[in-house]
Amino acid sequence: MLSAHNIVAGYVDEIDILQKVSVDVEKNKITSVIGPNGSGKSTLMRVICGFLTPKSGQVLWDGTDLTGRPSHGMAELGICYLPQERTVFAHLTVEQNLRLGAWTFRRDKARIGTELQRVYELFPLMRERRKSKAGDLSGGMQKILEIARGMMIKPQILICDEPTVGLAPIIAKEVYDTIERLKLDGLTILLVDQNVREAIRVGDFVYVLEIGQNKISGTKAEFETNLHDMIKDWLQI
Amino acid sequence: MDYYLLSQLINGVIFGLIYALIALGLTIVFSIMRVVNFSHGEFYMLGGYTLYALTSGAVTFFSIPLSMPTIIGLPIAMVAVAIFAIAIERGMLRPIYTVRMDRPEEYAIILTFGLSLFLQYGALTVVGPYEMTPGAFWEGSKHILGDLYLAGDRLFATGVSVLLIGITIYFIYGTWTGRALMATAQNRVGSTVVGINTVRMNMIAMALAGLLAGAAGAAMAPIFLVYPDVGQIPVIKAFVIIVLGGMGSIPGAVVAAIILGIVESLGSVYISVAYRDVFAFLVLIGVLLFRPHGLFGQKERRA
Repeated sequence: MLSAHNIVAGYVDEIDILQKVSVDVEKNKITSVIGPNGSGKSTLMRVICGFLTPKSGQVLWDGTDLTGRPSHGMAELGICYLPQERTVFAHLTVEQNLRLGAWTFRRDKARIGTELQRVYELFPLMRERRKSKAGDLSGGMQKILEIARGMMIKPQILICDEPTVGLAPIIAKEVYDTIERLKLDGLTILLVDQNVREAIRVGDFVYVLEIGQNKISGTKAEFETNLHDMIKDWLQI
Repeated sequence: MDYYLLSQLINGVIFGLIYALIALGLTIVFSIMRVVNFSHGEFYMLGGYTLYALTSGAVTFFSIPLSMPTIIGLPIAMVAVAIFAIAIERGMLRPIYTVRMDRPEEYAIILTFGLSLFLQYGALTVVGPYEMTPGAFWEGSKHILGDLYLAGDRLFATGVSVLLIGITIYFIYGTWTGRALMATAQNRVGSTVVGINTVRMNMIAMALAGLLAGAAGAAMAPIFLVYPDVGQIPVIKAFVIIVLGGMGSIPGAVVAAIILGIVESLGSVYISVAYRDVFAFLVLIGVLLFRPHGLFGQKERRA
């Protein structure tokens, strides 16, 4: 459904953060990308979502070439990107945030109403807090608001970059639960995480990156049996 | 309340509204682009010169002297300055958010500061240091109440200010584009993710600043005349206002502008007119001592 082929990318001319990385995301599955710090996971997400133009390689979405497309065009294609940093509009209310999620179909008042109700049903907590300023929510709630805002466009794929970084474990669990629930609703998910155990637990297919290259990849089952050895292997590098 | 105090209060509010018109564009550009536009005063100046060129008959277009009515010259001057502002955004400021560079804010400050000097001395070279007087918008002085009379032009400028401030506030808070501007000001990455073209939002912010500054410059031209550094004092006041109101806050800018207008007006009557331009800074220092983020400014939240 979404695939990146031989991506070479970096922020300065001489240094390639990604050296021919390839990833395939299957429909209705959770694909996890893991790897140590600095392995290029976030850079890969930035390339896929148009925030960084790759030096070579290609990003394909349902057969169309996404490479070099502007990042603000992704929402229109049904791609929802959840960057690592906070992206809520802190001084607007929860509902205003959600409404801005409908930017791509802003002329269609009826659709905004129905999508808003749908999102409120998916995330009842958001309905409770709809008059609160987004900046007043806890970190975990802000993450869930970002996911909820992304759901306004009824995306086909959700690309999450370390959704639980900096969150307390109990709140992180809530975020993972949300992601799994969305998968059951038929959403395709590409998840980047440093939390290896969780990423493998929720993932159907796992890619491991290491210093900008594909190290290994495989299904969840293959990983669960070898996890111990793999982690040992990383620590020795 | 005696008429004298009342008339001074009215005078102060009128000045405040006019200041607000200049300050709005500055605060909008700052909150959306994070650019402190030091050439904002020259946008104001260009508005005045454009009005003069279109209405006075001193400039010829295919050997026909241009002498259109001032009321038509005003919107044309606004649009002309907005186009100029867009050209500056596209040609000079765009690299600060499209190219990866060190210290983009400093680049923008030096650039707009240089542009300000360039335009001032450019005007000095092209048209000379003379004060030019465009025709009036509304001739004569009007009776308000008691012994309070106000120049028609001043009332006209106030009307233009109120109208444009109202339209701007509606545009920002009541339209999708306005909400996208607010979103861009609060979180650029978040705005991009929901599909907002933030580069276009910068352009709209700059165009809006050009429209407002151009309108102020043109509407004020018959009162304060037009000369190369006519924008200097108003823009300094505008800076005081946006810091006073809270950087990036639109209601803050309007309220602070009116406060400043009243303080100046009462201060120059009851203390000394010689210190007129000092009162702004006294108010600023006073407010910042107690509210370092301004009247309506939001404290940065780092968590």
